[in-house]
Amino acid sequence: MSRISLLMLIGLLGFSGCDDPGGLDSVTGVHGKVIFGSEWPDSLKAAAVVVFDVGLNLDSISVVGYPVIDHFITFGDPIEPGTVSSEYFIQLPPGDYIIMAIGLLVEPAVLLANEELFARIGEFIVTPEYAVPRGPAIRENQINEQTDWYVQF
Amino acid sequence: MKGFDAALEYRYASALESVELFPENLKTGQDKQVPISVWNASLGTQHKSWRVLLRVNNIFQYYYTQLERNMAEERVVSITVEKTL
Repeated sequence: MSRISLLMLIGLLGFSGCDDPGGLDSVTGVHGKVIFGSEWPDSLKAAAVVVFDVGLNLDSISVVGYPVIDHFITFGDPIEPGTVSSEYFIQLPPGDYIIMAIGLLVEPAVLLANEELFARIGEFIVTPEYAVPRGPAIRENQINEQTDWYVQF
Repeated sequence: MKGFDAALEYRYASALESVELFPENLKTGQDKQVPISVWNASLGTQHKSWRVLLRVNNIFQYYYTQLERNMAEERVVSITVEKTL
């Protein structure tokens, strides 16, 4: 190898730096299946699996004026009315969460497109009668699995 | 045989500071933006009217996106055989 080639190689390596720039990691999150155990009420426009932080007071979620939005983190894909079962995956960093299925009284697209409406999300959700919200802990580089989660509105 | 020719390529671009559609969600970790740091290499040789080229793109299997929510090319190994007629 000539000196010029060697210098070019060293220069290239030096330009890249020794630090790992850190590419995209494998994702962590939660996935599972929601099974709807009864007829959908006509009032529901959709359902969704929603993630809240652990500060959410489950007893107050249906109380008018309770700031549900302050505990909201994210949600899975909207589930259309009449669906019998639906699998979901929600990407989340390692941590503790409250995850639950909810019904939506407005079209998800309308809710998402209107920030003011979204801030009042607590007014437009229906919690299932027979689903126990769970509090999963997602550990490093793991997907937490929830299966056979029956929901009845 | 006329020896070998080799090439080593490095491409770096810092992470995007802002994007059009899907900004990084710090609560969920979705749509994370990372720098582009990709190594490619090739090695070729020629014998009479034949030429063989071995090329590896993204040698270190670096995961990144160039378009929002679209994974860029992963490691690709290709062998090209050429004959001059």
